[in-house]
Amino acid sequence: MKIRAKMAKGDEVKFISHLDLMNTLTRALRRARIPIKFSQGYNPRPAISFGSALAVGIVSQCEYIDFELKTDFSVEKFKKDLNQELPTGIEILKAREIPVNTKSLMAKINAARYRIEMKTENIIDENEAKEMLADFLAKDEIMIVRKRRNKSDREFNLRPMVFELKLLDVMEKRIVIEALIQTGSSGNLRTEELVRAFQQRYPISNEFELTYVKRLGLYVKQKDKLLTPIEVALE
Amino acid sequence: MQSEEIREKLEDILPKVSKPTRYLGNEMYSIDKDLDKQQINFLLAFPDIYEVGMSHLGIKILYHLLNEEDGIAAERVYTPWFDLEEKMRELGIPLFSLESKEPAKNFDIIGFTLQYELSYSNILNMLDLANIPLESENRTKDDPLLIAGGPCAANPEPIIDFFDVIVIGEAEELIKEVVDIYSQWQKTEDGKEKLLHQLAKVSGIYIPSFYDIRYNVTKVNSFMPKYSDLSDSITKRVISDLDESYYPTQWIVPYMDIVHDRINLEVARGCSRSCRFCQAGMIYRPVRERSQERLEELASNLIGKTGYEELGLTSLSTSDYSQIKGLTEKLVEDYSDLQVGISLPSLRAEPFSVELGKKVQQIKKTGLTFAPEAGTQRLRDVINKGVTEKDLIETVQAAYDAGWKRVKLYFMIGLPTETEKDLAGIVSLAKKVAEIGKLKVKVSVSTFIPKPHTPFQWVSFNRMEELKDKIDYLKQNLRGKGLSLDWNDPALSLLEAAFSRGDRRLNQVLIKAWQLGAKFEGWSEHFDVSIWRQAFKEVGLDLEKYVYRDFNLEARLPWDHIEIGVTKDYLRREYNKALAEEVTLDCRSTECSGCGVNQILDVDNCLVGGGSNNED
Repeated sequence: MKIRAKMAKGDEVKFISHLDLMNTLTRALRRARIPIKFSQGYNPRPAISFGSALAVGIVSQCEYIDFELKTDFSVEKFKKDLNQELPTGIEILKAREIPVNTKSLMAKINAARYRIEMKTENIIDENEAKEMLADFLAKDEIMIVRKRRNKSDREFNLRPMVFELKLLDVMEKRIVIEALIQTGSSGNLRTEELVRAFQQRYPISNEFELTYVKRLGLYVKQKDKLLTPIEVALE
Repeated sequence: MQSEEIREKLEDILPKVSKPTRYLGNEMYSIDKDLDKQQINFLLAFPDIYEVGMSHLGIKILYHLLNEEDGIAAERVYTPWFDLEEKMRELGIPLFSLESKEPAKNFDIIGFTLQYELSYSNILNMLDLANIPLESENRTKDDPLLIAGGPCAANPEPIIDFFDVIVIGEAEELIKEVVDIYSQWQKTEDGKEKLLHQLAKVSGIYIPSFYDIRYNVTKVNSFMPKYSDLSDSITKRVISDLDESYYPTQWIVPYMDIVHDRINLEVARGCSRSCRFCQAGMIYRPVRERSQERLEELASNLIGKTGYEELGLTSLSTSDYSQIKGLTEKLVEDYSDLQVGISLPSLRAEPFSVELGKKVQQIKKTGLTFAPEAGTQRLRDVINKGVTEKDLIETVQAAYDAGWKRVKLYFMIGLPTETEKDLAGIVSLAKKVAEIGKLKVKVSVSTFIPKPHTPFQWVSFNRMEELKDKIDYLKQNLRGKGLSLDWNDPALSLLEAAFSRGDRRLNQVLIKAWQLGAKFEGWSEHFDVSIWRQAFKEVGLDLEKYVYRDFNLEARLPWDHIEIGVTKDYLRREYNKALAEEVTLDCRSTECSGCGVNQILDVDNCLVGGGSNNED
């Protein structure tokens, strides 16, 4: 059977890498004696697949993971037992059985919502911040350079990858933005790149320093409709 | 700076350093005790980075042993990597414990482990980062009590100025006595001298400041205990029954990948094979095995509580464990459903090892590693490595037939009596192994370093030019399909050789070298031998001359007051047999070779499968 779960990754574990998180989950599954399926062959891997890898340092309230089990298992018990064995900061928020032939999370998820907090040395003017976002959204093309490991740099237009931008809060030297941006295999924008795009264009954001980024939601965006990965699976 | 402020500052710093997970300290089963409410706060310190320190079994044992006691909190600290250290110094953050972010200076006791001579400079660096005076004579009652233990305590002389107390032997046997004496003393107005004097009476405790030792070259000119009630030698403390001794039933599960990321099930302690170069083989005697029953119980607890995917059966020579076959079969049977791999990290090159390997590889097949150590039978007889070429070839053939594709072979260069023939032997042996099917053979060569308390403690360390020539020879000749070679920097070995047989004069060299910027010596990319040459010079010594001092068979050696259990007569006998190319058989299967350990330590070999000639 297959279980799709929604998981939170909190402050306590924000620095652990994607691979560390996989190992942590695998070990918790073993402690909880949940009959997870393993691959055959030289180096058996547990049948766990993530929707989207979370960058190190970012916290999240909405990681989605598919678990394939060897035998039938109560979904309620799965959630309860696993949570008992997970370290502080990692929690399964929801779990649903999904059809075995459901398309993978990786193939479907294409949008992510983030809360982005930044601080600066200067006092921030709220109107100027609003203008910055409005100006950004009014443009058709905003180019940015992506540095790639072992490959040459690549320049691309990130504007089509930004679906929504909202100013949540401005306090003296701190600004909080919410952004819905493209993610997934057909195109992935990083919050760091979005902030860099601001920095390169608007004087107000020159000294923005990312202090806290939280992933608020992962979605399957179909035109203007946003569905959660669990909704999509059960549709 | 207090822990809250350290925490706050780390919030800003951690995102900017490499691998911040190293410094989190909130892993599963790490403790969460209020330090203010404990009688004793104990800091376990490992002078290397997290990934190395977290793999160490001794610290795991002590951590959980101490924390199971009411009134004691034990926390951990490892060496911060360069990037964090730089930020700490810039912002004035002192060395802090992982769990509570408490400054190291505020702990009652700090225990360092001496695993490796080349980590000594990190100890000094950590003390400095902690704002603790380096030398014990400059510390007051308000400073933590500094303890050290571990294998290098077999000759602690090069590092005694920095410690108040040295533990000789197995710390889990005596650590609670130390803590009890400390906590009694804490309630009095007595000075530190009184505390040390009480500790000195505990068997296995060495208080270096109570012994005045003076040298001439290697000869000890004078040796004076400070009090008449002090013994003139300190005898190693050992556990007599491993089943009865403390072993954790759960342990910290790190988030990040560490060097040995698995459950280590210590099946036995000690080895009676008598390889003459091997310090561990001498200083961990006698052989003591855990019962299969106890091991199964521990495995069940540890797998259930940690969820680890690998369980390693460890000891100095795991295939020697008398119930190894039964134990391995049982563990594979019990845990293959849970996808827990069983690994055997130290196997002898004998076909039986492959039989064992076949059992465990049902889950995961990794490479096999064997250590012939020397290239010819003559030299293997000199070092008493009881492995023949036939053994090795048959073993590798069996491994190949069973499906293994990779083999690693360990050799040493610079062994006593080594000639060009022995080097050629390494090449031909490696080639023979590579010719078995299409095996990939990795040859790993290290430099022989004479170590205290071994039959080779008097042997000369090879000249640097010779070592370089030997490595060049291997580089040129160990070529061919499937063959690869790695070796270590002989300059690193030179420094290790200086410290392993060092004496008290090296304490000042260490300080100088640290002042000149020495740290993370074990990391070859950070090692700079010129710093050490300079430090030796400033203290009035010469690194090369110091290493090549004459070690006389009859003279008193700088570590002779440490009673490790094997007699000097036995070591001399073995030394002479080595030169005569005579072998000594394992005392488990034949007669007692008379090393003296059972008499001196009053502990017998303890083999759970029976067959010990010491058991009558």
